[in-house]
Amino acid sequence: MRPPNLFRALRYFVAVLWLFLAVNIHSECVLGQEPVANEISAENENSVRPDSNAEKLDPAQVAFFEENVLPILKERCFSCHSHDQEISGNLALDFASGWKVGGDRGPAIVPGKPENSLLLQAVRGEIADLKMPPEESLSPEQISTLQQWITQGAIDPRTARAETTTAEPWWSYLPIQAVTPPTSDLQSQHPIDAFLNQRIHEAGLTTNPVADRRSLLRRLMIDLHGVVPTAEELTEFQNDNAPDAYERVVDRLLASPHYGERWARHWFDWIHFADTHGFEHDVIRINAWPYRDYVIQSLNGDTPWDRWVQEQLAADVFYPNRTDLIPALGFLAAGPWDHSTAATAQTTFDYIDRDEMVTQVSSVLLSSTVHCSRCHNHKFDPIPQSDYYAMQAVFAGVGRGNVPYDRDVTVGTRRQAARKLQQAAETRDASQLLTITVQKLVADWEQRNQQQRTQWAPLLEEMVLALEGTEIKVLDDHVVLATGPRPATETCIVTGRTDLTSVTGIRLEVFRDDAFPMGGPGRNDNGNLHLSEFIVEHLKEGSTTPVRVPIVQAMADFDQTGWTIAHAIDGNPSTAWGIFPEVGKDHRAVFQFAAPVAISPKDKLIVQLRQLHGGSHTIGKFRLSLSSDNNPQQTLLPQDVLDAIAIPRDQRSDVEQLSLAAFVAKQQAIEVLNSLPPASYVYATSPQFESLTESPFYAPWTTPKKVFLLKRGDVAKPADEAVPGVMSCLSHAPSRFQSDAVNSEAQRRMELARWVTHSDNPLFWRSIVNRLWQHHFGKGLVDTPNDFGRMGSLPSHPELLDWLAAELRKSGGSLKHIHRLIVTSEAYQRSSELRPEASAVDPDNRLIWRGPSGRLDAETFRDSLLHLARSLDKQAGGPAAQWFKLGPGIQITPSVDYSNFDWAQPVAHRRTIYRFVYRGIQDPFMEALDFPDAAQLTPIRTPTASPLQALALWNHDFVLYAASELAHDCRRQQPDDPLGYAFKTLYLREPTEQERLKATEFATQYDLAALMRVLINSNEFLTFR
Amino acid sequence: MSEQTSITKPCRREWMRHAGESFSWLALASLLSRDPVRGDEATNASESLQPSLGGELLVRADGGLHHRPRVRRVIQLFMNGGASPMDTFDYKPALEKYHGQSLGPKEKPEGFTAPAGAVMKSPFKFQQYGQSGRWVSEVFPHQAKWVDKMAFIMSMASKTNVHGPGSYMMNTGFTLPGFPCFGAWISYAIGNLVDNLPTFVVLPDPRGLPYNQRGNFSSGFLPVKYQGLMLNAAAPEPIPNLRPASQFGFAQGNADQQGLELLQQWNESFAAEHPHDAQLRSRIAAYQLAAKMQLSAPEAFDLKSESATTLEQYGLNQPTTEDFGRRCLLARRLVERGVRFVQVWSGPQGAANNWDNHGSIIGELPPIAASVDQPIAALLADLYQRGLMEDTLVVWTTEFGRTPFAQGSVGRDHNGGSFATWLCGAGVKEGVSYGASDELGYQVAEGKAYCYDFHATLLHLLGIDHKRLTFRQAGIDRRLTDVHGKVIEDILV
Repeated sequence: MRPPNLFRALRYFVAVLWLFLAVNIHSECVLGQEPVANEISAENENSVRPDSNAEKLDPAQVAFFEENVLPILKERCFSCHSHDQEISGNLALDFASGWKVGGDRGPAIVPGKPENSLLLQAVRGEIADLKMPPEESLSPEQISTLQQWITQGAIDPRTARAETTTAEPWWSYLPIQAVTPPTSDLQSQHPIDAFLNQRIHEAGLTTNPVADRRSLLRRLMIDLHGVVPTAEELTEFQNDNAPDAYERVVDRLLASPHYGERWARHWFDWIHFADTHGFEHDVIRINAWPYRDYVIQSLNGDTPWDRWVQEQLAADVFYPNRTDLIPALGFLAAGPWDHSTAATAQTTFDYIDRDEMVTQVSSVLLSSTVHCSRCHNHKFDPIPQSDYYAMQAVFAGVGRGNVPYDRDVTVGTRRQAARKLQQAAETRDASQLLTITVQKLVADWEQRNQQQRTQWAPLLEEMVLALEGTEIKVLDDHVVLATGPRPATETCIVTGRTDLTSVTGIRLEVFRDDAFPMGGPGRNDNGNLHLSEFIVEHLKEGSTTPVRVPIVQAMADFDQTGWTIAHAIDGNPSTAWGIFPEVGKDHRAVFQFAAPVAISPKDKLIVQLRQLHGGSHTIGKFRLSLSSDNNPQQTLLPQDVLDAIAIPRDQRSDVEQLSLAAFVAKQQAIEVLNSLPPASYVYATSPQFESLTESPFYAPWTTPKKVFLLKRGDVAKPADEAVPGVMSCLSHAPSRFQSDAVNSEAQRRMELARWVTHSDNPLFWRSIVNRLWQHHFGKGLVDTPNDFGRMGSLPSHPELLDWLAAELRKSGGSLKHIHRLIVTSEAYQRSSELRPEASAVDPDNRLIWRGPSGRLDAETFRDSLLHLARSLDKQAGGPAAQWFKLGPGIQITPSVDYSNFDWAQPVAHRRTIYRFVYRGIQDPFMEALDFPDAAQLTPIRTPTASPLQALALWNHDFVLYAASELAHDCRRQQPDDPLGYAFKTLYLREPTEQERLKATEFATQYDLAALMRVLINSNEFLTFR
Repeated sequence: MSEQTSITKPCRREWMRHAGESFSWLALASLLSRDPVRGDEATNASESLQPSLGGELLVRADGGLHHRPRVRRVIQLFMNGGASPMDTFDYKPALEKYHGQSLGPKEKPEGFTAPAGAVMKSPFKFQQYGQSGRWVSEVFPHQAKWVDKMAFIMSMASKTNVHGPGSYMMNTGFTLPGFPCFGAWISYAIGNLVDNLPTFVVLPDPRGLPYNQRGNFSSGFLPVKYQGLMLNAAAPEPIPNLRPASQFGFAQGNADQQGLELLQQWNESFAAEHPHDAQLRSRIAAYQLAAKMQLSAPEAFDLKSESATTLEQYGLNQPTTEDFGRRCLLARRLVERGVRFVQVWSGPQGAANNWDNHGSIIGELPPIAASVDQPIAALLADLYQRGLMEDTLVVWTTEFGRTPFAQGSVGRDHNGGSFATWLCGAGVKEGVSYGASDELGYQVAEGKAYCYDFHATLLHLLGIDHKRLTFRQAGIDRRLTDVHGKVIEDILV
């Protein structure tokens, strides 16, 4: 019933709006580009309407309020206590909820009890520091009116606008309508033109003719690749007389990897992606780039729009086996991160960090301003505060940091399986351990270990030295005891021999003793020891040069967290093995040689126990033994495993089976994990992440944190706990998640992603086609791309917007399909020439009677110069290219120096999309060309022209470098007429005679590079039309 | 700028669309003088405003946006790190009485870097100065002589105890990144006074950027050209890209000059082929203005013409004051030549050489205080002496205060609860004080003023109603003062 009427109404509205705009230049200011005396209009106040509850209120009392009370509030209170002006003391009086909740001092009115109502006390001047209004008291009549109103129950029909507006449908929340393009005489007409032309004709306008091929190719390549065409590319296009020449160029450009490189940059503007944190401590995210590459690859692969967003919100949940998709999770981590607040103000931090995610999801994916409801219900759209906090709750289980992943899915699958097995072993999960697969592992393991228990023979010590002054005593059974002074560090060297003929490993036993602090076995006050390095050398009989015996792995019966036995063989003297808190007990470690060492009775083995940590973390009592068994590690089997294998398999209890399975599974898992190549990392949002080294205080948490609705957005004023959910004004799916999703972090994100990408979510599909349109035509069909709400603009062509949205959905979410549709329309191909008579009617070209024009953006400018000079490095992906010098900073933010950069070095020839974007310390050259502040979502870049920009274009080192490179290339390509070649390269045309004359004179007197500098700076090159 | 008059009427809107791409102050000058919304009587430019070589005075920009301005240019001195009020301008005898007692919060408040220690008295002597009898500690002997000219706000408060958000708040009105700073807002609102120098200049401490790096000078969601131009005062060419680097021989001397002429010629012919495209015109204008800036800027930054006495007064002859003194002197030269807003920073980010005196008030505060004190006094004297104070405002600010409780044994922690600022110059009452902190200087006791009120007052002086200076962003008409702010009339003339 609604569609046609709605559109008619909208179109009427839009037409009136245009009329208004056309005659009233100030209105444009209202839309946001110029400063304006933006009167708080009466319209806003009028939009306060009674809600349905008002019907239940006594009409007489409502009338009393509106006629007598409201005027007093408006006249005397609103200037300090209303949303439109200010909310002094956090008290708002422009809604009933304002005085009900109250400000800093609590509820302002207690209905029926004027004597208990702060508001009345304040206007009566009864409270010393709260005399209101401060300048001039109310009249006695006014005070008595207020008193009467409160006595009678303070009937106030004003509810938040958010609640009142749900009844009225707003265009963007309505389902996408099935629209067919208007029919016309031209059967072959492109559907987009059918929509547009109808309106152009209705306005009495004519369209511009299709642009010439030179303008067309330039426009198309700038749009789809972010580089201008070369003369050769234009010639090829001009010589192609086939009727579908243009369409084939479009297809070729869309199929090229440069398409993704171009459009990823728009995406990154929208989502404020950068390679550093921003804020006070602008820490580098060295692993941000895999997300950048993921975006480029997804665009090039034309990942369906809904699937693409699902991946970015919850790839780990939707596609758990696709470990290569983890970089997608960089989406939610794109924005700034406040290291300092995270360190010192945790609660505040959590709310602002989730606010980042909510704002990005709602603005970018839904063109909605949910973030406006942080402190109060949305003033204009039906978005209550509870929706905002529901969305915060979705992200209550995720944090940001380095997230490991595997690019190779087979490796990833093995790693996942091994981790799962390890976890099952650690939790002794019978359901996973008593499976056939694991039991087979156990059987195999037993098979391999059926030999005798490992035999150990003591190393027959001949000399024991302690280098730092510890007194050494050798006891019976070859036990070495450290006594006497307790030096901070110690290195103990034991030289000995053995009667074994082959040695496969060496065992270190450390013993407890009441003589040591806490019973040892270490000599530190807490009984701990730190073995920094364990080194074994073999001195052959007759030789004077000992040979190092490589140790392939080490295992201990207990490892202190972070101080594992592996540290004793890692060659790093600042790491070590420790046993805290398991002090007062014996411990053992076994070091397995890489290969058996053949040894004769007259050979020596020299063992060094380096204990370099300090604080007397030295070993108090130990013994070294040798084995010739194949698997000396077996000696470390835990007692329960030893017990289990001592019993024949069919006689073992379930507990014994489980002990054995857990042990074998864990060993197997660790073996697999050790054999895999190291994981890659992406800076992303995930429940599992590794903190950046600069932020060790920030660690993952296991269950989602509690999120509360905050009164006035104040963390000190938590109200009800939020239930995870989404915007309640859309009806395609429930807005609060069901119980399963409430409990699980993964489910929350999955539910969100499903809701956002739902085929019936009108915002989701409209939002993206509008953005694509905007970057082709310079302005969206809705020119407030992040706001389809009441404060945003209305669509200029609502039917076309819906048709495109439906088309995207129908095509399976193919963004390339929409690009193709747009750029093959005649509207897109029109000449951009301004015709005064058309401008008079439609100055903003909202009807699209002419084609798009503009200035090359920062990236296109830079890449084009390199491309034309044939020195653009087309390599894709990889770590970000740093076009600055990093130096030590005062704190953890390094110093970043952009000056005197050598643009001739290869890294500077990468495409600009691969540039390292320093959020808080932006590249001044990119900024001069309007690269936006990455602290902020940037749906639209505003192009400017300033003297500082002119100076940058005229004098910046990069431009001058490019000028000389271009000159060099022209000489190389066309030695007989480099000047003519220069014009063809930059302008895609021959110089006029006049130009040639002047250019020759100038280039002769100075240099061809000097001429290049002029051409680069000229409007014919810098603009497109 | 006679080209603009040739724009035919139907193109006026198209031209307005591109105003964002042009020198809007130039462009708007002609248009808005006919604009009933913004139009108010243009005041005459003060005689003290002397555009340097080649500069043109933009008389229309003199008018303010909503009412007649008292102030046309501002120098902000920003003490980075949180200058301690109770050791400088906020004398608290009660600290002596309660010294050593544990009166602070029992649990570490959010943003404190450590639990509060015992009350700590100021290690510095205080004394009353001038007719106004303002107490000033011994760390500011030079500024103390000017208290009768200053208006103090003794009741400033911040919503955070953390540097990053605190600096954002004092610069942009919000604790989060992405919002335009004060300088960007006024550039956007009223633009420049002259056409040959930038509108908004930032002179950071050469030892390093403040907290938030360049976020404090950002234009946020406003077009990038409104952001602060950060200059290295110590560099031989403070304005970037003013000249081609010497390694590019083809770009020097006559090649440079004649190249620019050739460029403008070709741009003119190109514009003639597309007569209705205002974008092309604004780009031509940008290069003309760039040329003017090339001509004027070196003179503005050249201190050679300053007398030995002046250099000495600003402290350029002493290592302690040399750097801040030079930047104060540069600030004066810039506002004198028509730069609208200059922000001078004292102290880099980090734990040393700034006002973030966690470790030791007695050890860390005196050196940083001494580095600014004499230069500030010299700046005020110089501005008065040159008649610039007729329409220039100097403000002294910091992002928050410090605790009356000790951190460690002799330091002080962050405290958004209370801090002090002063204003001096055009439109400001002399020798007055507004608001007060509590007995210990921990929280504001009366007349609480946030950055909103502070910014509202500054905008008011510049002829701008803070409630009507807006920019639509993501569904909200954003203001520098958010939904708050009250002009502090008590300190205004």
